[in-house]
Amino acid sequence: MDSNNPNFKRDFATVTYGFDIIYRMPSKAQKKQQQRRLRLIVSMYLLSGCFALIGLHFGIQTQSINHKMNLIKKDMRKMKRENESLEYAVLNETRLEKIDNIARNQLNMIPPKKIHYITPKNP
Amino acid sequence: MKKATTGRINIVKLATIIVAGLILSRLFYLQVWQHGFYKNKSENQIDKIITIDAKRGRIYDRNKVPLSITTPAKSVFANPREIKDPLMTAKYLSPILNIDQGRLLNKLQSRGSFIWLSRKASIEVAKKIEALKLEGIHFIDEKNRVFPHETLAADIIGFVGIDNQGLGGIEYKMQSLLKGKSGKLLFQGDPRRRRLISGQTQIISPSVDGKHVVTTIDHYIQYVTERALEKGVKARSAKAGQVIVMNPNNGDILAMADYPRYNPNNWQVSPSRVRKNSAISDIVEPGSIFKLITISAVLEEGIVTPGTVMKVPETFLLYNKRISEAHKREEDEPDEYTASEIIQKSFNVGTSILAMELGKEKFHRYIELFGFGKKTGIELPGESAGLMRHHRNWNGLDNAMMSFGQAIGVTPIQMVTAISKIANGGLDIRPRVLQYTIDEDGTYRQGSPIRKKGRMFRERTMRQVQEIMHQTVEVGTGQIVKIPGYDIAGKTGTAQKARADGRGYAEGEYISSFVGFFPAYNAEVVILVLIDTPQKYYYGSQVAGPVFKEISEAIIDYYNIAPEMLPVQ
Repeated sequence: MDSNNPNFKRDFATVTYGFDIIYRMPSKAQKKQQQRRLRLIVSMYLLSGCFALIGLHFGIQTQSINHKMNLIKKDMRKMKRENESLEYAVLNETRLEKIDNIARNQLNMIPPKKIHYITPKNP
Repeated sequence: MKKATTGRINIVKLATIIVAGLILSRLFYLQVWQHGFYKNKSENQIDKIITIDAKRGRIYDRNKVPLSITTPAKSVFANPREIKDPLMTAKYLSPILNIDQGRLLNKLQSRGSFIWLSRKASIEVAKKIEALKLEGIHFIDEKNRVFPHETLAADIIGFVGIDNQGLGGIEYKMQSLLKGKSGKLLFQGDPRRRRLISGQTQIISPSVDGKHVVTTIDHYIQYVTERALEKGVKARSAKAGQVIVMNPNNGDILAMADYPRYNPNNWQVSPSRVRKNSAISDIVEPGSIFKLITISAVLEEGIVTPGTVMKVPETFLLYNKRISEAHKREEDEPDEYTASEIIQKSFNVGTSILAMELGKEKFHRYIELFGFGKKTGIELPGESAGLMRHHRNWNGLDNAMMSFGQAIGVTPIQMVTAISKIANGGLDIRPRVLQYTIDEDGTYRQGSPIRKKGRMFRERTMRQVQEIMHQTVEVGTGQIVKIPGYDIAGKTGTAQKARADGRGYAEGEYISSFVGFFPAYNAEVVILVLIDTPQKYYYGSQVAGPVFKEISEAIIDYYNIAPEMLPVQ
């Protein structure tokens, strides 16, 4: 390899690795293209990162909502069960026999002995 | 030397190839040849199927008041192997489960790993036990069938077994509709049936909840009927009693009471004779209320009119059997009566003469037309057809005896249906307890048709019978049920009770009855009251009459039926 050739340039690799790295100096257009490519790659990475973050965010939110929904469903089932038990208790407490007993024995109510019928004057 | 080494290497190579070949063959056999078999085996071990129970439908009264519902419950079981201190566990659980401590301790010290402590305990009981956090005590979620009105209409609603299968009444008869269809759920789980996190869950068949049944029963009328019947039975120290309240225009059974009662929530403590519905299954000799069938037949045939005057002797000798009246006739009483008066005063002799004039073939045909000798078809289990012989098998006495309700066996439901035909002016009607069924969401309704077949008797004849029954209450044997301002039609009955061995009648044992309807000429309600073996007094008017009156007054008040005329103050 000819180190005196003006078309070649020695760089730090010569010092570090003890051999020459010979490369061609990129043109301006090539430089621009490289920078564009680099920017594109970086933006792609950033975009993917954003998407990943958004996805993660929605994923967490979905999981959280699912969890809440499951809890609500569980609560609903529990409330439904309690409601059924309460309905039975209400029906049992309001059965006619019980009301009748309370009316007669606790409130000392009696059925009317005589019913008077009234004729309306202008029927 | 080199040759020998090469030979050994070749042997090792060959052996390795053979072993590898065997392993590969076995793998081929297991993975390819027996693929299906092992795949199934693996799936069967992982896949677990559980049954999703359908919710049992409710039973409502005609106003959608729930009579039978399903509530959540928890069954409590113990794993004795997990219990470290059975004595303390028994001590804590005994008062909550209401089980004797010693008995509970025996259970907890048993060898097994599963012992039921309480099936279908209430949620409150389960909560109390859960709060104790006892080792080895576990729970299973279950559904419990409960009857919130307890004994009310128990004979109609019926009861269920431990697995909620209907065992009586509508619960039994409508089992297929009420129970719904169980579903199946497939999930992947471990051998202990714990669901695998990575496993799949799939509903093989969804559960379909049972349909709700809406009955014709009115729970208020049922209540007043049961209360009046109980009062009537206790007042006369009777053995039992039945009452049926029916709408004669559409056949709806508004109430059906049978005393003694039982609680379907705890039916096991009641004997089977109490649990059966006597109003549809018991066969009784109807007694004098059957005279209404005789008079209907002779009037329909035109043999007499209500005003036809007949000579009615006090006794009547027929085939060596003396037919006589229940009451001894006074000396100054006449011996000539109209056909209407014969029924109003309930003369056995007069009714026998009328039946004999009619002839046994025709009488038999009319008895059949009124629906006796066959089931009414009510949607309840255990109905009897009654006992009625063909007229060819009647002896010389039977025609006369049947005319006043002896030598024939009828069920209370047959009797009330027959009287409904008189009350509605001669239309055929079938009793029903089921109105319609509805889905869980309440949208789909399937009605139970009103079975009205058409006219069976002339309306004129039935109006005449209604008039006779009205007069029976106004001036005859049924005066006790008179309600001022209202036209009540009725007929009393007192039948001797047949002996259990079938040899004649039991001494001093009667069935007192009263059947009637109101308003007399536009009936809305027919009521039949039967009291079995009352003590001291046994006439229908004295025993069954007051029960009829109490129920009638309550229904008039409940339905707000206006009086026909204002009573004289």
